[in-house]
Amino acid sequence: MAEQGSDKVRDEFLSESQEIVEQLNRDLLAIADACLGRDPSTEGIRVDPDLINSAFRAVHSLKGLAGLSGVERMLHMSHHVENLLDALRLGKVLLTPHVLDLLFEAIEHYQLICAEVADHGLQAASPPSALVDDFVNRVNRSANTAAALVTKPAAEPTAGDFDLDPGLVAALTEYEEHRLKENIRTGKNLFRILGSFPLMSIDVELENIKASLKPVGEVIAIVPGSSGTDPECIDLEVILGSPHNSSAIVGAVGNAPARVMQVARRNTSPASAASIHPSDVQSSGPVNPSRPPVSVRGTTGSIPQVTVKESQQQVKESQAADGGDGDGDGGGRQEQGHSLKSVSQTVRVDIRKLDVLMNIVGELALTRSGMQVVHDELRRDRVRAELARALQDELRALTRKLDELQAGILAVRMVPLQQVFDKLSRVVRRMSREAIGKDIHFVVSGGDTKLDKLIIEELSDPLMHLIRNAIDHGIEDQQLRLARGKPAAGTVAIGAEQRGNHVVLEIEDDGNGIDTQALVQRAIARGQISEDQARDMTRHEMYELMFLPGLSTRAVADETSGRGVGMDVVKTNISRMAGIIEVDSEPGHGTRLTITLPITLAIIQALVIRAAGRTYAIPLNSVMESLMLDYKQIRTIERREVITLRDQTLPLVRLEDIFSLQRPLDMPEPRNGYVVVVALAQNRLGLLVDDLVGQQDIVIKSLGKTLQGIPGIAGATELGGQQTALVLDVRAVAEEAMPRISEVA
Amino acid sequence: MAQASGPSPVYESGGRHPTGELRLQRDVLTFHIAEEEYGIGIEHIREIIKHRLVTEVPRVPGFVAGIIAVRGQVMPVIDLRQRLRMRTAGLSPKSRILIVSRPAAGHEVLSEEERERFGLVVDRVNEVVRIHEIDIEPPTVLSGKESEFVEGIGRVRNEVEESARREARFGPGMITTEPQRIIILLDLVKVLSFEVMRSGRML
Repeated sequence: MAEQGSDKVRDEFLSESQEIVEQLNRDLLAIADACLGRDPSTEGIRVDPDLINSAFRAVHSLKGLAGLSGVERMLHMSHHVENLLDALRLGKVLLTPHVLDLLFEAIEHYQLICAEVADHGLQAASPPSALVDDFVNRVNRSANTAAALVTKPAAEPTAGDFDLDPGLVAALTEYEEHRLKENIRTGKNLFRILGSFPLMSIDVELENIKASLKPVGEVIAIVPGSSGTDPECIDLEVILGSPHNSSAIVGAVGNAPARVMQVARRNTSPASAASIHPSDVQSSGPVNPSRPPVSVRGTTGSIPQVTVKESQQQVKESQAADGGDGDGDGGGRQEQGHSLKSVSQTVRVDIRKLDVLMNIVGELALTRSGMQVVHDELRRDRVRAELARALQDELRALTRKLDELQAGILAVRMVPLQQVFDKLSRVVRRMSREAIGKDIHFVVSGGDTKLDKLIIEELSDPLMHLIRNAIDHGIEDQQLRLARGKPAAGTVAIGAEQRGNHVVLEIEDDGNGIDTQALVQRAIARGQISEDQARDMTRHEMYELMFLPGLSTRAVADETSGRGVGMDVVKTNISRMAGIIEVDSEPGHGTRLTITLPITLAIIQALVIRAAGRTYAIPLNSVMESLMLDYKQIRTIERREVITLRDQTLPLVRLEDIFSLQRPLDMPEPRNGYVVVVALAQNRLGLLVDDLVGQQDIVIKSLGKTLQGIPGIAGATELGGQQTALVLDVRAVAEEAMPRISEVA
Repeated sequence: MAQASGPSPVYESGGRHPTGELRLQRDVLTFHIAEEEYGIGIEHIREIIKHRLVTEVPRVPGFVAGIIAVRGQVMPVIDLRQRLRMRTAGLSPKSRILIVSRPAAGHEVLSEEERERFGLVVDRVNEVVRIHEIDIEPPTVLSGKESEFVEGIGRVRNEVEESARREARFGPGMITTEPQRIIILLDLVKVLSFEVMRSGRML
């Protein structure tokens, strides 16, 4: 019992930390993006402070989580990374590429810790690790040395240049003060936005106003305004730094019940110290009559006094909002609008629970067919025809709702590909740092395309491999690229797009292209094809060679891409998800890999057929067409059965031969039947079947641990009336039936 | 459709006891195959269903009759006669499929839902009996081929007290046990362990 309890704690720890680490990764990637093309040598890089804040919060949450779950190593590491991020957002440390690398490295340590916890439990990650200690030391060194580098530029404007009340400045937290100085230093205009907000809806109103101000500037601080007259309302003052003038700010505030004032500069030329008359800047939008009137108090330059009482109250609130982590170093981390309430509206669900739900839907559908049978029975009875009609109506409604339920559950299983793309971005970033002489421009598109969670999980490793291949084997050295007239930085692009019930992923690089001759030579050398076969091969057949086991065009294996053991595994993994991978390449110009995947594995359209007295389902995505056939038309070539279809020879396969099925004694050899034409890469194959039962949506189910992996069988499905049918793995059947093709395709 | 719920509250989940933990007695579901009476610990039995259409699966050993779906879950069905190397028999109205879950192997910790399920075709289901550990002999008394699936040979004591207790527990109307009744206790782990054809190309 105790074990189960700790398992649950571990699972929750893992799923929560994974989510936060993913968020941290996204923040860091966004920061890294913002850094692109800037010269970091002297000033460090300035990025949206919200990104740094978000990263800071993520690490802070990880720290809290680690403390709660007793994962000492993560706690220890988070504490120091948090300090670094804190110093970063307070401007004590400059954002250099080195610092960014350290932060990315933190993600890897987090993942290592999570993996260890997943494998060996929460306690496993408690003892100190030399790896993490070394990392922490480097983090601390970086935090300290970088701090020394920061010099205060002399002749820059300071807070004193602005007509700001010292009392107000004193009430700011260290971080807010830093942001205020930063805005002043970079020559921004300062604005005060005064508003009175009803207590009932203050959080919503504040979020709204923050959101509308975000595009025009930076919200430096939100402080309580002068005491209001209305006890139901609270006066707040937003301090905003913005490069824009006051009219832009007024426009941004829009209809919100707030007033905008620009803070005048002191001691500056009259031209720049454009003090604005209140009437110019008062929000001109109509004020919602249900809201209390805006308190118009104070004019430009006269700052409302922030009483000590109010600022104490603010500190109290912030501490409460900070989750009371009580580690004492919380200075400067109070965040306005930061509450204990979870921001995200999502629920994490174990995918197996969704499988259970999906099973229930399937059973409901079967129950429904049972009811349909009852209905049909009922309809034959003239007396009860009326009742039958009513039942039919109800059944129709039930069908509709079942369809909606099924679609709803499927929608829950869908997750955006961006999750995978983020991981890939990180790998590319690291590789391009490590791979000497290669600069990689990684382009991602279509990250919002959604796929079944199970497919996404299975997809990360193959995609990772393909991207690594593209960088290692595809993109040339910079010198060679320049010599070929290409840009020094190689481009690797990954894009996703939904087409009907499929998602198409394209991985493209502008590198070497595939050397087909080298592939062919190696395949011959390894005895995988004969020279005769090689002579007849089309270009596409040659590309397909790279999916043969053990074939790599590189003589030397390297750390990242290995020895060419990968491509056949990639292909197997993708076919396991009922996907297809195709290759196209232009020598010297690049390679494009196209992966087509079904959106979900849970429900597919299938053609139900009968052969040798058995019923099978064939996934419709592999069926090109089906046609009737008089068996007299069957010819043989080298004892293999074929027919001629539209002037092309179509090889035939009988399921009873492949699966060694005994035809029932009372079932004579048929004289005619059907051919189901399936596609296998560039080749086609005809499955000879006795009868077509029809087309229907099926839920594919695993045969279980013992029976899964039988070649040619993808799974099973329920057809109703307690009847199950096997779902064919067409690709495997075809590969087996035509070894010649499988070697090539 | 009889349904056996969860493990017996009296005992640890049975079958194998690598720890050598002391169990005084165990509850066993008995059933007939040919002329012999076999038993499986009731903690492994999930459900007993009437025989239904089994879908044949290619490329599996002959004793795998195929698959069925029970409450949405697909599972292999094993013809226990063939598994025990006996001649297969036609179906009779008394044929049943025992739905069992694979006992945990070694130290693996699996929840009931995560365990793989199997259907076992038997000729006839008999009853649940309680067998004392001291009445179980090791399978070495047999030298026949089937001993590879036998965990032990159990003897049911024919005591009045015993049948009264059983009647109290399982309700009246139970068949009175014959003297010297022998029950062959199956080693479920071994019965459920087998390989199917997997081409190297597929893996």
